[in-house]
This record gives sequence, structure tokens and C-alpha cells, in this order.
Amino acid sequence: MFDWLAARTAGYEKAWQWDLLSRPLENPSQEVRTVLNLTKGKLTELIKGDAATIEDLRGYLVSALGVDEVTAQSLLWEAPRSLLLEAVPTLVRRLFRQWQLAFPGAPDARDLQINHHPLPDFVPRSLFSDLSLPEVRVILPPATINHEERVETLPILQALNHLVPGRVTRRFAYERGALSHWVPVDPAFPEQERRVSEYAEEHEFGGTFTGRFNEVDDRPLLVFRPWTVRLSKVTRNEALPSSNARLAWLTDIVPNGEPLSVPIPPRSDWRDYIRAVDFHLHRFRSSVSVRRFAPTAHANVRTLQDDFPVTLNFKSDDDRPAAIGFELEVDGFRLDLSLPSTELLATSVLPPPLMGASRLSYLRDTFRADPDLPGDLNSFQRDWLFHILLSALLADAATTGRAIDAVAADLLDEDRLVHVFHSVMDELFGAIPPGLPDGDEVDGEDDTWDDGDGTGESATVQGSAAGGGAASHQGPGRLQQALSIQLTRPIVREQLRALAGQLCNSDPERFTAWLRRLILDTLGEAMLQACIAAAPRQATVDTLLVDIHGDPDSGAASIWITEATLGGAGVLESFAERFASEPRIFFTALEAALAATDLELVDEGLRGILALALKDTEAAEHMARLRATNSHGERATLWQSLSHILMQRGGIDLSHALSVSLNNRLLRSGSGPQLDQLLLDLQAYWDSLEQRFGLAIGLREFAYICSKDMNLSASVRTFLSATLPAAAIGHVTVLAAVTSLLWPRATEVRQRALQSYHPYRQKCSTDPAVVRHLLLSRSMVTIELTDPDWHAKVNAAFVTQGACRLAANASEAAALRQATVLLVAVPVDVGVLQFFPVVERVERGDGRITVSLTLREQV
Amino acid sequence: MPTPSRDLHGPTQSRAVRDLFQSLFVAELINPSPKLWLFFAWISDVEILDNSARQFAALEPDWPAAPIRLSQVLQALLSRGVQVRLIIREHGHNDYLISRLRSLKARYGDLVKWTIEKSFHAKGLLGADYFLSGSMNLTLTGISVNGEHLVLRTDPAAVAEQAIELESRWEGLLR
Repeated sequence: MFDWLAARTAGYEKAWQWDLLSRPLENPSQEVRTVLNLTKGKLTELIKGDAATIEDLRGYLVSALGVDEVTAQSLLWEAPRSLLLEAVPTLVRRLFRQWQLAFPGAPDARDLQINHHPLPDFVPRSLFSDLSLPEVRVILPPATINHEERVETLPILQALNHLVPGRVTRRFAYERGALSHWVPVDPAFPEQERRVSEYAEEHEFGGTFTGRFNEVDDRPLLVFRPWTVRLSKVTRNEALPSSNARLAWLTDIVPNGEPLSVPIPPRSDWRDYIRAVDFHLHRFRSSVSVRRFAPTAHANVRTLQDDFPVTLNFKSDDDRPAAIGFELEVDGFRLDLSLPSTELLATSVLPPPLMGASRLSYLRDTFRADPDLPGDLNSFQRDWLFHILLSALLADAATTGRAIDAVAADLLDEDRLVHVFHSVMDELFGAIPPGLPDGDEVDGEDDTWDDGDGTGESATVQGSAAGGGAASHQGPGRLQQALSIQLTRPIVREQLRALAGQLCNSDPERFTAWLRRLILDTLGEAMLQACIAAAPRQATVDTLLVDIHGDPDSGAASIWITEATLGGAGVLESFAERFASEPRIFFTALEAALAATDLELVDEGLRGILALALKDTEAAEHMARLRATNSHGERATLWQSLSHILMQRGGIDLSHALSVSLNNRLLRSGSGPQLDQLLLDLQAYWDSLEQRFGLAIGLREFAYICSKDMNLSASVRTFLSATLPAAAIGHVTVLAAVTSLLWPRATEVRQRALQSYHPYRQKCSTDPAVVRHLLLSRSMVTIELTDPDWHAKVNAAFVTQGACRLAANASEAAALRQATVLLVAVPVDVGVLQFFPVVERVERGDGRITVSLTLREQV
Repeated sequence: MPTPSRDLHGPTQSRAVRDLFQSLFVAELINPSPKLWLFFAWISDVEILDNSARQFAALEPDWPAAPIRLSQVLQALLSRGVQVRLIIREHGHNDYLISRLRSLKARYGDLVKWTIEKSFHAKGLLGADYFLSGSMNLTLTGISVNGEHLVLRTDPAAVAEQAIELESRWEGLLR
């Protein structure tokens, strides 16, 4: 429209429309004034509904945007942000009234106005940015006596996350160094209450909402939307700029209007689990109200001397529980799920490796979310304590051969616990190479820098005394000090002991509830991925959020995918169009999101190659020559023939990810048969431990166990002394060596595959393999190729179910191929009809190949 | 072991034809034939496998979640050391696939060879244990529009006879 105005008003006089439409001009030149008058004339014609002018604008839109008549009409007249009913009237109001307000609060207050950016609430500044809405006003005190009080605006989410009480920000402090702002809190009180009216000078009651999604909170809360927040200056003596605070978000989502329901394709595997897909789009006069609100803020106020954790609860002026937050009306869609019931889940048996992985995540999540632990024990510290506990227990159980509960009773005894944790910490943190600073170390250094007077130094020295003699040369870092302090609390020690108890006997009921939640969270993340994969290419999809609502009692669950901001570029609208025309695309994309990623397959590939290198002389010889060669040409030839050997002998496909890992892990300089043997021994030991404890063991825990095992330590040392220069060996611990020699297992990689950024949710565990196992492979029969009657059994499965899986060992690939060719050539008799199967899927795992075959007419 | 054969008719069975190609090439990817003959007078880079749900990620983890075309499948087979042989008619339609073959040749050398013949008209696909032949060209029209007829044979004698025939008639002419 701006272009159209420019085109229609340009003549002998010229002016820049983006300037004159964006601000009141004080002394415009004659030229500009002429154009401005012409512009006002055109706008007046539009407002008065002059048919010729509107027709001219419509024609301009069609040719300039390359859209059809219908789209141009909807741009002119339809919500949201229609040109003629909303944008033009707003522009006319501002332009004709010089951006004045009807009821100005302050003498020079103006309507929303940004220089050179006309209609900022309708047009984003750049192609991919959000609309800039003046969502929250921030009042800043004068920086110096020469400055005046200043007002800035921020979008609501940014404002709420930036202006949490207790969070020190330098965002608005460009006037001078060492200037910081915050919403003050008194660090003397760890639990505080704050009235919303004290926090936000101007605020508006949004409604009484209940957080029914994600982290459920059943209390109804009065939610206020802040409009104006006043910040204060903060000195370094009160709080350092590294003081941080975050809100504990709750979510509620309510649909408005009639949804557009898309039926699930009758032949889809997902029909059993997904009951309905409902779109709520503005385009169809429907929407969803997304309410995000936070009743609590957790702050960590850092001063030169110490950290002060503060929990701050909001309350209303009449002292009722309240929250700060907002409500957005956006496009969204809901998937109603019916998951297997809790009883069914409780009876379903996961294969041992999957069970081990699930138990580990369950225990970790239990500890992460333990409500009995002190609130200021943050999630990073909880993860570290969990890691240390597991390392200590498993290492002792592995080396002494005792059962875990006996070890736990011994090591976690009140007298020994702190000492045991300290010795593990000394070893873990001492093993971090000095050149590799971790986040906390850097923080610590920052603070020492900040101090300037050496107070930081003395804190470190004190800490090392408390740490009971440190292994690292710098003394324990801030993290280790913080963990040591946490360990002095009886409740932390008590909960650690309780966790160790769960390690031996976990509560089956809680485990099943957790498993159900895991499935739901995984599906939620996978659906988001599927949306991203299935949405048309031109749509930007980083603005979608996934929220989960699960009712464990009724078994009903729903997953909401909504746009994060107002005017979210129509991503969901274009996705809805795509989904309605071809629902299968979404479900195949969903399966793709759940399928094993190339990174997940690397672990098994590398292990297969190791085994082959020690078993197959030709493969070993090729690897030896590859390690020895310096010629690029020779290397290329050898690489090609090695990949053929790996394919033919081991059934290993070299994907890009696997090639990179193979080169970096097994073929790097210093590698050789000795390394292969060592790695294979370590892997075998790892497997045996996982089997023995019925628990997946992470790379870092396993590295710690190895460092405690005399035999393995000795072989790692022998390998190191054979490959490293003598001077370097002293700096390398067994723990560090094992961590860098081995790679994370498929389980660890897999559980990180489906994680999306969500500003209003805690990170949740996901595991696509559990969903694959429990939901996607439930119905299909697996028939072994070694079974003499396999062909008859396959046919029987086709007749009854229309699908089956044929499995064989990787070494029997030739027979599996032959069987596949035979199956697609021989018809299956179903009643009087004859059908032919098709190969629909191939899976590999644990040295086996599984081929899924389907009779399309039967499913 | 029975040696069945199967008849397919287009375009009514075009889905079955696509399924058959998918199944045969998956079998090849699981355990490749030493030599694979593709002789189609008209040939395009058609979609062979439906990998949109990453169903075949276990065979080629690098494939995208999308339909996989003939040239990508041939590349996967070449990386497994299969000798790929093609006989193609001299026609502008086939130029695109030939350009893809050239880039494969640059990478895999003489593993892939083909010849372009002026009046070539036969159509078929020969693996180690099957022989697919008929009137269908490996093009989108051939698979989904034309009324074609295809026969899949698994009789070892017939397969061996075709292999010898192709070997003696064409191997020397391939480049």
C-alpha cells in the first residue's frame, strides 16, 4: 500500500513515503507538503469508499504481489489486519491528527510512532521480524544528573523475561559503564511476596486462569498483564550484573469458535492413537487464547560476597495469589490423543536396553523434579549431583562386585556420603583439561575480575579448604563449592539416599505414569518436527510452540501447537491447507521425526566396524593401510574398497556421519589394532555393566567406572604410553582418556534428538525409541527367516493382518534379499483374490535386519 | 524353491508397478547383485523409493525424508560396489539422466557404464535373481499413464540366459 501511495502521488514533486507516513513533520518543504496533501487525498478517497480508488489499489496489489483476485480481496477486507478496515483507518487517524492521543497521559505522549517505520503495529520492520507492538513500557531513572527519565518499550515476552525481580540488566544502560538496572528485591529474605501493583505501575486484570498445561498447577490465579514497569539503578554492592532471575511459567490454552476438523486417514497406523485434529484459524473466524502466566519468580542475587537465592510470589492488592502474564489470540491446532492406558503400559515389556535407558531417564527426571529438595538447588546442580551419585555407586558396585543396594547403604552412610561425593568431584573436575574452561569456571573468573580487590581470591581459598583438599591446581571452582554447600544440607543427603533406593526398586506405578508422560512429550516434540517438515518450504517455522495437556486419570491427552506471537506469518494457516489436502504427509513426517537419526546409527556402526576389524583379516588389512597412507589418491581408493567390505561383510552402510566418526575415532593418527582391541574391551565391559545393573550408563559415568577399575585403567595407561609422548602422559587421567576415546551411545544421542526451544516450559525427557516400540510396532508380527516355515507364516500374517516383518541376522542378508524377491513375485491368496506385498520399511539394529512388508489392499 | 513369475498391467496397476520397483531396489540395497542391468529405451530420473517417513534410513541414513530418485538409488548401489550397466536409446528425453550418470561416473569410474543406441527399443531390469521385462519405459508416463505390460521372472534359467545374452551382446559396447 505504501508503494501504491508512492506511485499514485509521485509527480514533479517527490517525497519518501516511509518517512512522511511515519511521523509528524515539523517543517516540511514545499515539495514534501505537496506529496503529503496528495497522499491525504488518496487516503480520504479510500476511507470514503470511492470505488475507482479501491479498484485501483486492488489492481495494484494483484500485479505487485502476483496474487489472484480472491487473495487481493481478502487482503483488502478480511481479518486479521485488513487493509481497508484496519490499516488505512489507523494510518488516517495518525496522519490527520499528527499522532496525537485522544486522552494523552503525559503532555507530549503520542500514538505508536517509530521514525521511518509507518504502521509499526501492522508491518514488521524486516521480512522475518515480528510486528513491533508497544507491549510494555519500561521507565528508566536518569542515568546521571545530566540525563532525564527515559521510557522504552519492549514486546511482552521479552519484557517479562527481562524485568523479573532480581534480574540485573544492562540492556538499557548505554549512557555509561557500570550502570545497571533491576526491579529490586531484598536478598535478606529467601521467601518473599510482591504485590503486582508494586511490580507494575500500570497493569490490567486479564482473568482468573489455571495452569492446566505442561507443569500443572491447579490453583486458580488472578492474572495481571503489566503495562508499565519502573526500573531502579543498582550498584555493584547491592547486586552484581550476573544476578539472574527467571519466572516459573504456567500455561492454559482455550479454543474460541468452531474448529476446522480434519479427518484422520482410515488406513493410517495413527488412527488408533490420534482421535481428532482440530485447527483453529483466524481465517475461519476461530482462534485459540493462549495464556502464559507466572505466579513465582526465582532469583539468584549475586553480591561480591555470596549468592542469595530468592523466591518471590506475586499477589494481588487484596492479598490473593496472583500472577503476571498475558493472553494472546493466535492460530493453533490441537491433536487429541488416546494413548495406551496406564494398565496396558504397566504390562507392556520393554526390551532390556530400552528399559535400562528409560529407568535412567526416569530416575534423573525424578531427581530433577523432586519437590522435597530445596528450591534453590537448580537443575544444573541436580544433574551434577545425580551424575556424581551414579558414578560413585556404579563404580563401587562394578569393582567390588557388590549389589547396588549394599553399596548404597555403605557409601551413602551419613558419615561417609559427603566424603564420597567430594572424592568423586575432585576426580571429575580435576579431569577437565586446564585449557577447556567450563561455564562455571568462566563465571568465577569474571567475578574475580569484577572484584578487583581480591575478595574473589579469598572466596576460592576458603572454598578449597571446605572442599577438603582439591585435586585441581586452581582449587575447586564455583560449581564444586556450590555443590559442597548443598551437600551440607540434611534434606539433600536424605533425598540422595532415597534416590539410591529407587535405583534398586523403583515404584512401578510412578514409573508407568512417567513413561506415559515421556510418550506424550516425545509425541509432542515429534509433531512439532513433523509440522516443520511438512509445512511448505517458504514458511518460517521457528515461531511454533508445543504444549501438552495430559490427564492421567481419564487417559485423555492433547497436544497443542500454537504460534508464539501475534501475526505469526500464517505458518499454521499454510500448514492447515497442506494437511487438509494430504493428511498422510503429516503422519509420514511424524514417523520420520521418530525414526532413528543418522547420528543415532553411528554408535552401532562404529561398534560393528570394530568387531569386523578384529575378526575379518581383509577389513583389518584395509584399515591398517588406510591408517598408514599419506597419499590422497591411495586413500580414496582404499576408502572405497573398505566401504565395500564393510557393506558386504558387516552390513554396515557408511553414512556421512559414520564416515566422519570412523575417520575421527578409529582411523586417526595413533590408532591401530591396539586401539581397536582396547575399544572393543571397553565396549564389552560397558555392555556387561548395563546388563548387570539393568540400567543405561552414560559415557561420563562409564569413564569414571573405568578409572576405578584396575585392569581397564592399566590397559588404558598402556595404550596411552604407547601412543603419547612421555611428557604428555602425566597430564592425562584415565577418566579424560576414556571420555575422549569412546563416544556416546545411541541412547544418549537419541534422547537429545527431539528437543525444541520453549520459553514457557521446563526441558522434558524424550525418547523416540520408546514410542517406536510401544506405539508403532505393536501390531506387526515378526517372523524369523531361519524358521523353516517362514513363508507359510508370512502368508498367514498377510491374510490376518495385512502386514508382517521378516527378520534376519546381518550375515544372512543374501537370504533376506532372495526371500524379498520371492515374496514380491508370489501372490498371496486372500479369499478368492490374489495380492502382492510391498516392502515398506527396513530397520537395522543389534546386528539384525528387519524388513516390513504390507499388502496394501489388506491394511 | 519355486520360481514364480508375475504379470503387471498399466495404467490400472501403476501403484503396483511402483511398489514392485521399490521392493526390488530395496532387495538390491540389502544385498546387492554383483551386476545390475537397466535397459530402457526411454528413461527418466523417476522416483523409486518413498522415503518420506525415513523408512529406509537404515539403508542410507543420509537420504532426506522425501521420495528417492533413480540416480540416488544408483549412487547408493555404486557405493556398495555394484556394477551398473545401462542401455539407452538416443533421444533428447534421456539426456537428463545421462547427465546424472556422467556425474556418477566421475565419482565411481568404470563401475557404471552405459551405451546410447539409435534404434534401441527393449525394456528391462536384470538383477542376480530376477528379470523384469515388458513394454514399459522407466519414465513417469511409462509407469503411470500408458497401458503397458510387464513380466517379472525369477526362474534362474531365464535370468541366466538373459545375463549371458546381455553380456555377450552389449558388454563390449559399453563405455
